[in-house]
Amino acid sequence: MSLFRLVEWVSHTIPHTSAILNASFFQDREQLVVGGEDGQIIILDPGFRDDSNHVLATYLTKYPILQMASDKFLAQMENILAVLSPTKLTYFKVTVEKEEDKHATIEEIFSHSFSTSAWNMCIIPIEDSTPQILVQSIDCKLSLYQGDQCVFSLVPLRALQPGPIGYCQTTQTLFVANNGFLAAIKFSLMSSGSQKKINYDWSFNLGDTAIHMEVTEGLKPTTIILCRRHVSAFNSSGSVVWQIRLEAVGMSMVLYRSLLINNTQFNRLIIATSDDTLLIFQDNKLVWNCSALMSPVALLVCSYNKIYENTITMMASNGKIVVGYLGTEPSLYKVPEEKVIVNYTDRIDQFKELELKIKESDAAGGLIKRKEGIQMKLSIGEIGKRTIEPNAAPNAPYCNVVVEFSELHNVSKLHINIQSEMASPSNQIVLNVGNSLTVLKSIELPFKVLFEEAQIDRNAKYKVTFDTNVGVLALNQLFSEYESDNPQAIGFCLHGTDKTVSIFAANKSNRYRIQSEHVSLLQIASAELVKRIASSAGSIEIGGTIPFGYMHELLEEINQVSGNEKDHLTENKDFQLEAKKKEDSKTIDCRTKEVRAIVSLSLNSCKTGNMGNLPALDALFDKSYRELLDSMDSYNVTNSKIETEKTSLNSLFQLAADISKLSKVETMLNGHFWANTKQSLRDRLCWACRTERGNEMKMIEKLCEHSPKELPKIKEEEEEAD
Amino acid sequence: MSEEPVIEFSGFIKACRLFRENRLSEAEAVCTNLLRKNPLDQATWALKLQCLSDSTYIDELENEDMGLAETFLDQNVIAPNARPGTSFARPKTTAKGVNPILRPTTNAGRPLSGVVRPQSSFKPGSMDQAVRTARTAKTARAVSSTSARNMRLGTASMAAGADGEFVNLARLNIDKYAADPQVNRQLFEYVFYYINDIKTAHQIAGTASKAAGFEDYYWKNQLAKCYLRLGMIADATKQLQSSLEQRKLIETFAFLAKTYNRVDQPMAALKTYSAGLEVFPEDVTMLTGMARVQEALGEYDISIALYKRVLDAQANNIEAIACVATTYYYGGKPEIALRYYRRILQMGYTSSELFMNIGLCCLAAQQFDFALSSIMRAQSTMTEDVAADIWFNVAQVMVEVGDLPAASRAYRIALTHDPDHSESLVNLGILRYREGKTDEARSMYAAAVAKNPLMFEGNYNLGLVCFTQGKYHECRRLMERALEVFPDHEHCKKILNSIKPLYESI
Repeated sequence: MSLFRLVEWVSHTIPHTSAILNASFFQDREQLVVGGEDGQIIILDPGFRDDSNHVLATYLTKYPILQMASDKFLAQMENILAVLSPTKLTYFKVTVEKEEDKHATIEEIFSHSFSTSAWNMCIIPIEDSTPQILVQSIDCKLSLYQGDQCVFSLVPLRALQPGPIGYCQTTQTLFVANNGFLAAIKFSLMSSGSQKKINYDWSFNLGDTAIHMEVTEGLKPTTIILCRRHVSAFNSSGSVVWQIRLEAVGMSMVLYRSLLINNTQFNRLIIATSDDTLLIFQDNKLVWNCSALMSPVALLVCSYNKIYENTITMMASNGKIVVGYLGTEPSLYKVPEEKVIVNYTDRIDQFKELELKIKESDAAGGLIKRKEGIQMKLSIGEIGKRTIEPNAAPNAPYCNVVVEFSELHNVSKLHINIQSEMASPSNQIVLNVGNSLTVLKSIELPFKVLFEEAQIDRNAKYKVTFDTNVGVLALNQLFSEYESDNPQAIGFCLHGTDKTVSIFAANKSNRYRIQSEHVSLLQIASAELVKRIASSAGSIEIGGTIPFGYMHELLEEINQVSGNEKDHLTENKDFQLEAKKKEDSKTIDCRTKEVRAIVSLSLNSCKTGNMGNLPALDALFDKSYRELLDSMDSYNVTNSKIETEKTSLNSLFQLAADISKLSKVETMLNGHFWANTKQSLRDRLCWACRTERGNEMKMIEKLCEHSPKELPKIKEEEEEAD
Repeated sequence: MSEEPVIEFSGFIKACRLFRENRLSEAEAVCTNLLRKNPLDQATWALKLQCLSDSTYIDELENEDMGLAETFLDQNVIAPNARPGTSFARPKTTAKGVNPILRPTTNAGRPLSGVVRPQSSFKPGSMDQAVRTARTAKTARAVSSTSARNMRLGTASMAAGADGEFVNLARLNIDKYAADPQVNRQLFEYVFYYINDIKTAHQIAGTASKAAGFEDYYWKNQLAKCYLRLGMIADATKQLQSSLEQRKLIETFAFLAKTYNRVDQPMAALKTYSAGLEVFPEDVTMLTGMARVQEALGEYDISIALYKRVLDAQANNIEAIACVATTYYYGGKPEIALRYYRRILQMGYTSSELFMNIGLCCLAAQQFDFALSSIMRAQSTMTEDVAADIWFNVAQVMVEVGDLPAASRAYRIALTHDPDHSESLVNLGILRYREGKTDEARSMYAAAVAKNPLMFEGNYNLGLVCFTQGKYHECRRLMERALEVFPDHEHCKKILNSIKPLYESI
């Protein structure tokens, strides 16, 4: 919506209007005459502001109205209205009884009839006499009328389609813009009324259909033609003074002279185009443009009263008549009242949610698959006290995992794979559905189901400590489902095993300590502990130290330590699991070859029939086969040991990640950092650290070493005010 | 009322009034009815022709779409190896020239202008690239300009004349009607705009010109239009010059300049415009044409001065406002650019591009609240053809805000809208490179270069990656290509210099 638009003052909708005219009938101000296709003539007085109706007089003729004009057409008679319809030119007299009266009367005086339909007319002013009216018929023939007399009739012009006509009194020239040609005719040639071919003074191919013509008098008489695609101004000798190329189809034009700007040097024009724009020109210089909110087919500049002088009157083809003026104040544009105040915290939360959703949908194979695929919901059901499963440990409690499916549209088969991980406390259930639609869900089993209460063990090898900023909570309350009385220590034992983990709480130092002989239990217990403390004590700060020592130990055992520590390691060969694995695999290689050689030897001897050394061969085979089996066993043992160590290490990584998270540090390490990959730990670390320097331990430390960020903990002042 | 139930206009008067009120289809329907009663009514016939041709009218001056054939099989270029500054292909005249970093270029390698113009969207790069561009769905490029026009206009005529074509050109006595000044203009426009039969249109114009005694400027201009469409540029120039001798008109000057532009003679075009300005001082068409040529030559200061003169004469010229605004924006004055863009908005013109520009200006001018609302508005109003650019800009904003994941997401969305959006590819590549995914970045850059071989950023970035990876030969090749686009780029030169000793040592 344009900021610059016409400010509406008066508007009327009169259906079937075909012509408008401004004329002054009384009080030296102008009234608006509206002619209709249905033959209606209405005189409106918009300057009379007391009445919203504005109607002064109405009159119904029997002919559609093409054009109207008002002048002193008849001698000794004022207020004459000439109305052109296709078959008649009629003169009316408008009488206003009293100056202040709200009513006027229209009476028909007389009319001229035409044999061929008329199209338009123009007034020919005559000095010292009443003005004449020149009427052009639809087949481009001219007739001239003066009062009740016909001067000449039906002088043919060479044209098929009629266009606007205009007369310049200064040069006594008639301008005709029929059929895309602008022609100037000396009026004296016409007045004889001869039917001969008229010679044009000059003519110009407009190359377009003329729509409207304005002729100015004075020192520099100019003819301005509005065509559909351009506006051209011609001087009296027929050369182009200026041209305006329109962007939209021109609809109507009016030439106006302001009383305030009494400068005849320029011609001031208003041009309306089909894109609802009013363009106001001073010659070819655009001085103003605004939106008209309609595309008027007729334009006028009228002064209806002293306040509203030089208002623009427009008529649309649908009969809407608008009187308005170019407002100087921006009437429409306002800064939107509700300023956009961005609640950044909300936005951040919103974004986080979105991120989460995006991640979830990515994990589920994107949005589209998710919609098609099945939905699965996992929840923990009732916890039972004692399981009766034959393979389970005696007295182990159990719990039901409730699996709910939805959107199982065409699924005929459902495979449920359950993968449990002890090292990190999550159980995975993998569902395979038909054409590889997979849903993956993880659930943490309740602590009670994992552990039973056991003796505490203060001398266990591995420990991890957590400190808090408030006093320690009673452990028997934290783990209320266990029947322990001791608020400062509690021990747990994994069901069916003798693996224990103990938690101690120290009142003095506000610390918790978790101890176990099994390194991977540390993470499970600590995660559960932290979760419970956090849920029971609200905002509490918990911190811990990352047990890099244990990682180092494990790494040494796996023999992933390289670089300068290699020499040191070669001394304790017993611990190099990875090296042992290699050695074992070499041994297996050797033994396999040996067994193969023996087999081929025995086959050879079978072929040749030389069976003498068979017992010796048999013994040899027996021995080397045993050795092979042994070495394979040993290899497997080493391998599983490595796997155990790996899971322990992963569990420690998860622990490190948990502890880092407590101090608001996000690290790339987690329980799956070195899982499901064939890369070496070093490769993984190199990728994570983006460096290839240093040994593994240093890289791990580097990954966790970020100093705790202080910024997230700082409360903003505004929040405090709340 | 009972004797005359309905008083209204009828017959030819009604048709004429409807045509005058720009109600073309209604006018055409009335004409059709009249012709059914009296098929030999020439006035009605001419009016119907005019209704039909006006419905498909296009300003031939603005119609500068060139097809592949015109671009590559062009025999009209006078000096293939022009001196710098005298050809659109070699726009650089001074060191201040175009800086592709400060002012980005279009896909076709031209500096970005304030408005999209058909001619500015294509620069003869390599045939290979042009053919490839033509094949993608988004930038379907006609093999020749007439074929594109034919397609559109063909459908228009089919829709209008369901019961067969209005005028059967094959059976029409063209010589008779073309010589009749009362109907020949309408007939010509119908054949030229509506039927798009340029050969017949040329025949009509020729006959009409002859009938007018070779003294009517109008028919010479129409002949030139036909010659331009037919690619006979020399003939067009001849007709236009002859027309100018007869009558000096704005349209003729503009067409003459256009023909000079077509044969890559910007200096002659500028001279023509100046001659036009002498006759019609401060004429908008001349000034706009001059400004466009200067802009294409990289003379931004002159171009902007001209656009400002346009605005003095015609303050609502959106092209001028937009071009001035764009230059201010890239000149580092976003506040002033913002005022220009706001002016366009105030004039009642809204589009998502405009809102995005306002948003970017606000962002650069630190008015974040308005930036946000403008960008949101741009997103809500965008259409498919600008969606990629809008998302690219959103991503740029994200980069400036520092939200790199969101930025990379926005770039990817931009690429889903337009897989050929090379800018997005390059910037996404940069983000990937930052994440350490060098190979991914490399492939993105390579894709961008493949889509747009003239792009400076793509060539340079890929060259940088090659340099760090030690692929010096490829690096050198890419840097040289980057330097073709931006000959003054210091970093490219430095890298080339550091590679040079390696070559010399071999």
